[in-house]
Amino acid sequence: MSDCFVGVGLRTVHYPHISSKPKIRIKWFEAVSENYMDTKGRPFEVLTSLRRDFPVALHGVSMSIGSASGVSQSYLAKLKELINHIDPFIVSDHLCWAHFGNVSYNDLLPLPLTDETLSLVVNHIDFVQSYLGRHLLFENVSSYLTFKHSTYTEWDFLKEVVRRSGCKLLLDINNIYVNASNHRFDGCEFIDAIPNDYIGQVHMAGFTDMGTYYFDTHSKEVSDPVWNMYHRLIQRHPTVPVLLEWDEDIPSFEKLENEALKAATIWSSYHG
Amino acid sequence: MDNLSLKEIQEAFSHMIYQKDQEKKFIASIEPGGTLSREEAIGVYQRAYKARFTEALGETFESVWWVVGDPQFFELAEGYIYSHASHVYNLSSYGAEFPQFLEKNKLTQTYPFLSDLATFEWSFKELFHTEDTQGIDAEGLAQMAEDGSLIFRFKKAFHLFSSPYDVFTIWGQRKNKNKEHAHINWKEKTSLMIYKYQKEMHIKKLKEYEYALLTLLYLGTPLAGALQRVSQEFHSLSPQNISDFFAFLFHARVIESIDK
Ligand SMILES: [Fe+2]
Repeated sequence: MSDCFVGVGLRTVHYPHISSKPKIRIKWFEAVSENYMDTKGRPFEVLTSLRRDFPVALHGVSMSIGSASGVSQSYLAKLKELINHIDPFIVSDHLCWAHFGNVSYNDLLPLPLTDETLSLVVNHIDFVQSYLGRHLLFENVSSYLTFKHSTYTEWDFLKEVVRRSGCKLLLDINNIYVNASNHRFDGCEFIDAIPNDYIGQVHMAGFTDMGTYYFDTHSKEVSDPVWNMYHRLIQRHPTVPVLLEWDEDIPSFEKLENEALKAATIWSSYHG
Repeated sequence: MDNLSLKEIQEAFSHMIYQKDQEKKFIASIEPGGTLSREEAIGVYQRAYKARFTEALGETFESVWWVVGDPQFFELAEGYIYSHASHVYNLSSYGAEFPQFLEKNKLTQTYPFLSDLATFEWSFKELFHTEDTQGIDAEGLAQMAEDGSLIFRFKKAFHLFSSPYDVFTIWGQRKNKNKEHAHINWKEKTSLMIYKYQKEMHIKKLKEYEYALLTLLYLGTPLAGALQRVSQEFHSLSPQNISDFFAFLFHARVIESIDK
């Protein structure tokens, strides 16, 4: 690999800019699956057109792989239809739960890290991967509480999910940092514990310091300590695709690209 | 203490997020993040839930928000959110029953048009996400002249809307921070067709006879019958009015096919 594979999240506010076919410096885009699963309107047209020029990853927020009430079959059917249309190079979602029964919370809710959760999640991943006919990536989420009866560290839990299900991880370094601060562990120990071949993609984003906790807002630049952790990972894993997420107070596309391309500069300092 | 199962945790969490109840056993089973108390840590999720769904409603019902202002919109949103759980995986599909919810709200005494405005915004959003197909053009017009038994099939990206209030003008002002709805004469009947033309959204104000004719045709009334009924109702209607309107319909390409 001769360069860092850096992308940004596709957001509606940038549609006019992207549709004008400007010179784009990043290499790929990540689209939030649910925003394209129920539309044949403009968002769908923009993504379809973008896909002709760029690799696209589909990143879901509502699969709810850890839901005790199961994964929705109709959701998976819609996702499959979108996958067939877009032909993404990565399909990912989060290691969390988002619905229970027929009620959706549209949030990335935390799971107790127990054997019970592990076997349920692995069963669901098996089912989804065979239904979609491909391997998926699952992302570690930020959380504001943990469960006392958890018997795994977050990194041991993630590793066990990968080992048993054959999925890979979408490692969100910002989420590791947020959780390390909120739940008082060493983020570097987390990163160091995950083997390269378990990591299929990296997320970078900004959080907000709320005074009493760190909140995963995706509303600003990536913070220095998170870049430091990125250094640590990219040094040993040069081929991993890296993506910058920005969801609130979204800047111009140029500023977004500049922030994302910091990842490429750091990459070059080790592998250029 | 017995550990809660995953199902019990998700049930308890659901109750707390949605109904704002406190579940003692659940609270005892968690370790809060940062320097938060247990209740505060749960509060982070409760607040995020309300904020997320309020934002979703605000995006779809932007002009309802513009009319009633922040405090009243947030109150409406809260009332709706805690009485209407989400059953959709896509946040932008949340709020289907918001227009009916508004209808029963006391605010309709001040803003009688509010529910209709919300219905219009929901229809607009739905149409925005509908695929555009190419309707038939002037050839269809020629064919039409020959046969009164024709039945029109309209394309999916076509919607008829009517209200006793001029919600279209209110909607048109929704991004105007310097104006208030009070300065708009909303007490005027409005009939509209919302449609896509070359993948773009369009809205056309309809005259009363145009709306009446389109409604009949949309419901599958054969052409001759529809024309006859409209001519009986609107005496001043000339053949020129009719042919101009059909010329527009074919130009706008909203008719997908014509059945005999
Ligand atoms: Fe992420």
